[in-house]
Amino acid sequence: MIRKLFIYLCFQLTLFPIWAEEMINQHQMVSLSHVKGCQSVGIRGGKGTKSVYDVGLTYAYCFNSKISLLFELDHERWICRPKEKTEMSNVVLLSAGVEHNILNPTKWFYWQWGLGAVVGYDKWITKRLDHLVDKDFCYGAQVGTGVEFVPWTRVSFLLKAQQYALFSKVENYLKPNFSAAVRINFHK
Amino acid sequence: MKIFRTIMGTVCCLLALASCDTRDELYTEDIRNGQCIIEINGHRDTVPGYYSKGKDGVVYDLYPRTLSALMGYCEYDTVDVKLYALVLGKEYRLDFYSPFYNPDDVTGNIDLKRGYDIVEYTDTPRGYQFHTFRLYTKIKISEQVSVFQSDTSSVLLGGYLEGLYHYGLNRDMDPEGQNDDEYFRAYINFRLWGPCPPTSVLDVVDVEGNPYEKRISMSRSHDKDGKVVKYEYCIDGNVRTYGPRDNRFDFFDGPWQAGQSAYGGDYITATEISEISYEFQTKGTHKIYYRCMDDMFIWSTWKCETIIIQ
Repeated sequence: MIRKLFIYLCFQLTLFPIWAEEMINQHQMVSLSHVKGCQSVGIRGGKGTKSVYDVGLTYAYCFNSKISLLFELDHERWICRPKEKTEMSNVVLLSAGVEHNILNPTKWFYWQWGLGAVVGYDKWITKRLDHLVDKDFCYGAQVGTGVEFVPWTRVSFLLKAQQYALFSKVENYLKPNFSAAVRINFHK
Repeated sequence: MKIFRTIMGTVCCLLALASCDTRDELYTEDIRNGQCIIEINGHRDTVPGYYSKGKDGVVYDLYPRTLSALMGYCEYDTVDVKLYALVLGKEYRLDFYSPFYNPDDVTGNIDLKRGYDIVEYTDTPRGYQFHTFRLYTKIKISEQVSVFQSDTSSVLLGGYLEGLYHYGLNRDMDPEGQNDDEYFRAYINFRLWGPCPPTSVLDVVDVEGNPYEKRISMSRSHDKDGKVVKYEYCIDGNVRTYGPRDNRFDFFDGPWQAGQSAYGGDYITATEISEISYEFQTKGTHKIYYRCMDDMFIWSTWKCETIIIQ
């Protein structure tokens, strides 16, 4: 079920540029990206210290030039190296939080930090024990910092480092994630 | 300068973050020799294995992956499986039951209906120790076979036991006593063999002074999960194979089992005599069909031996 949802979201994402262009054409054009009412939708990919990959979607809504509401949906695959006997996936990880602009020295550069509450679903596979599988919901929080480059009004690029603290019946753990994202900004 | 400090601070944060992945192997490589005893319907088998110390406790991994146990004379509505685990040098009994086993419907998961604590108290000078296993487990039947068709009839069951192993001293009597919980899991596959048909063996011995007479013996027939109780001989007859929808048996309304039947010749049916004397009437080639039945009413397949009377 979750995999199907993820595939559906990815499919929707492929349609995203058409939809965004439509939104931009239909609504008022502004030249500022971090102002009230500005929304950003994008994709992101990353990697943690031991993870194989992390892919996800990101959405932000600006309340004002400093504070934004931020949603991030991720899927991560992780293998414990070097023995590679334990494999783990954040099948889905949803973060809801806020993003704060600390520094804005020029109009094309922002330094941000943010935090959010996280819920998700984890799957652990132990190869040693006949591939025993443990699955459980997880919850926790994440905090992160990053920089955003806004070369054009509609498009921005983010480099971000986050630290997650997650809890589940299987395992309580910390995990970092370093990601790059591309966002499309529009006003409704 | 301010931007430089900001960038440097960010870089330092990134470096700090990189070392904060606390995920690790769920189960360590700390392997120690272990041993389990599996008992299926009274048949016991010792199983070597190892157990690993995981973050949540002890996990048993038994090998070989597939254990064998003969079901013997059990009724086919239940399979009683017991696993004895040697934990911390002592033997504790873990019981689980497959609630219903029907050879015609052995697919899918079966949730065990019973799981209970086993509590054992041991008196010690400082109080008493207690050990508890809390069991909750499933058996998955992963192979469908017909148990009456051949010598290799069997059903493969796989499952794992999960439990909470609790060890400690009574706190009321010894407030400083230790308490410890350990998660326990044993993964096993075991193969249950159905009641096997007997193996029929025929010996034909000449009788001195009469070349036409032979002593036909099936006394060497045997059955590995029981004993042979009846025999059939069909001399110079024939054996016919028929299918499940054969309409020759119009007196029988129910589903008919596929199989073989003997007819013609001198047919001695279902006798308890394991050795007979027979005098052939003509020279030449003769055929003897024979089979036997065990005490679970399972017949062996028909076999044929050709003899020549000169």
